[in-house]
Amino acid sequence: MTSSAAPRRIGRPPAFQADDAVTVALGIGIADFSMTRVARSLGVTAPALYRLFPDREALHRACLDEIRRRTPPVRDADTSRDLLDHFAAAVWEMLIRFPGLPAVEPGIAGDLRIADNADHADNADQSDDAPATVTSRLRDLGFSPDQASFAVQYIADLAVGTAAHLQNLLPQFPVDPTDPDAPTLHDEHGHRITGADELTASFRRQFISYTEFFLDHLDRVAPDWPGVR
Amino acid sequence: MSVPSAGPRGGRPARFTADDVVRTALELGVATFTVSRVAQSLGVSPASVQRHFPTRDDLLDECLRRICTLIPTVPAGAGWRETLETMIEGEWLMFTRYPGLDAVWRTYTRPLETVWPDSLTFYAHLAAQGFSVRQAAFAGYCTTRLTSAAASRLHHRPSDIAEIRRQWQLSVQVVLDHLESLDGNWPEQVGAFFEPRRTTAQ
Repeated sequence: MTSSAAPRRIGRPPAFQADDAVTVALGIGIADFSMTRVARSLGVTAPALYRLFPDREALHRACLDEIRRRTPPVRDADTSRDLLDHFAAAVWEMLIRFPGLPAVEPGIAGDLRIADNADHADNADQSDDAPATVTSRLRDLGFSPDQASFAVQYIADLAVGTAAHLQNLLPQFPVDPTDPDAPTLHDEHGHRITGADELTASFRRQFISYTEFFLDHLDRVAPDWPGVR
Repeated sequence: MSVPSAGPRGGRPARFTADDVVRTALELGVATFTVSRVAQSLGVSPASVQRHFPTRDDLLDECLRRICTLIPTVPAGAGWRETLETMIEGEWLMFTRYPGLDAVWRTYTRPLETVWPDSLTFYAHLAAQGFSVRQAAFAGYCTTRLTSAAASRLHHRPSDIAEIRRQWQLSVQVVLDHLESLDGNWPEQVGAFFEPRRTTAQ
């Protein structure tokens, strides 16, 4: 469903590849790109771009595939707690690396793969041998599908909600602390946050603290994890 | 500019109230409305809308004030759990009914109590039961994150409402249950945080 499916054309080869369009679209932002802006950045005409991607939706899907490809797989673990910790770190990393992603694809976190055998080597076809996901790994560890998907969704929601807040604030940063209209945010030590990196780091700590709170709960009620049927 | 082409009173200025303006802005989208589109929808001039609301921010404030009426007032003497439950259900109503509202909130810089007079009672109720501002914020923000993400999924897949709401209800219940098990020793909010005005001055 990616670029390889582009129709065969007669005539001059295009001056750009489908991958170039995906890179440009992701550079603009997956939530914000338009076909005309992508074409203009590539220095090609809009019809040329439409020959590779019949509509915005097609390019959007190709971008999501690329995000999945570029996101490192979740590190495997022997315990559910470690596995979910690794999952939380991977989800956060993905959301920070691709701003706008929570807004357009809030469910993408559930697709993250586990790093073990032959992951991203050939992702063109994954029909037969479905790779392990966090959900399937939790089932291996003895939790029901409902329990596993509840835990995964909970952490993904926390990450999406927290990253979305961060990304709404980031355009205002860095702030000039002497500007009376600048947002006044403080960290847990009472230190005024003025830089963008500082802000990002502080939101990551916040997300991790919510996650640990949740994992404490799961440990406390194990093996009777909550689940939605 | 008095050309109400579709109105019964040909030639006379269209009559509309501040309430019509707010309703129209909310219909167009609280995150995306513009004064000129509101005027266009009402079939009036932007200048006549500005007589009610001089700036977009003024109109936004009135929209938010309206939306905040969805949050029930926390009853006096409510315990921490009831306080949180009231807020959580109010946020679900707001975020699911108004797409984009969560982003509007997050970038809202005017004092919250001007559009939501009850916003400070949340911290006051929890303070009355011995919780610090950052403990109250931990509980409040953690559940808000879950609610805003669930609402965002719902806007993408409206037909999944039953499943999304069940997941969300169980998620916030997990937060409340775990807070309960900690018997007052709640974690404090970590990281960037806007201190609410009055409670910090206590």
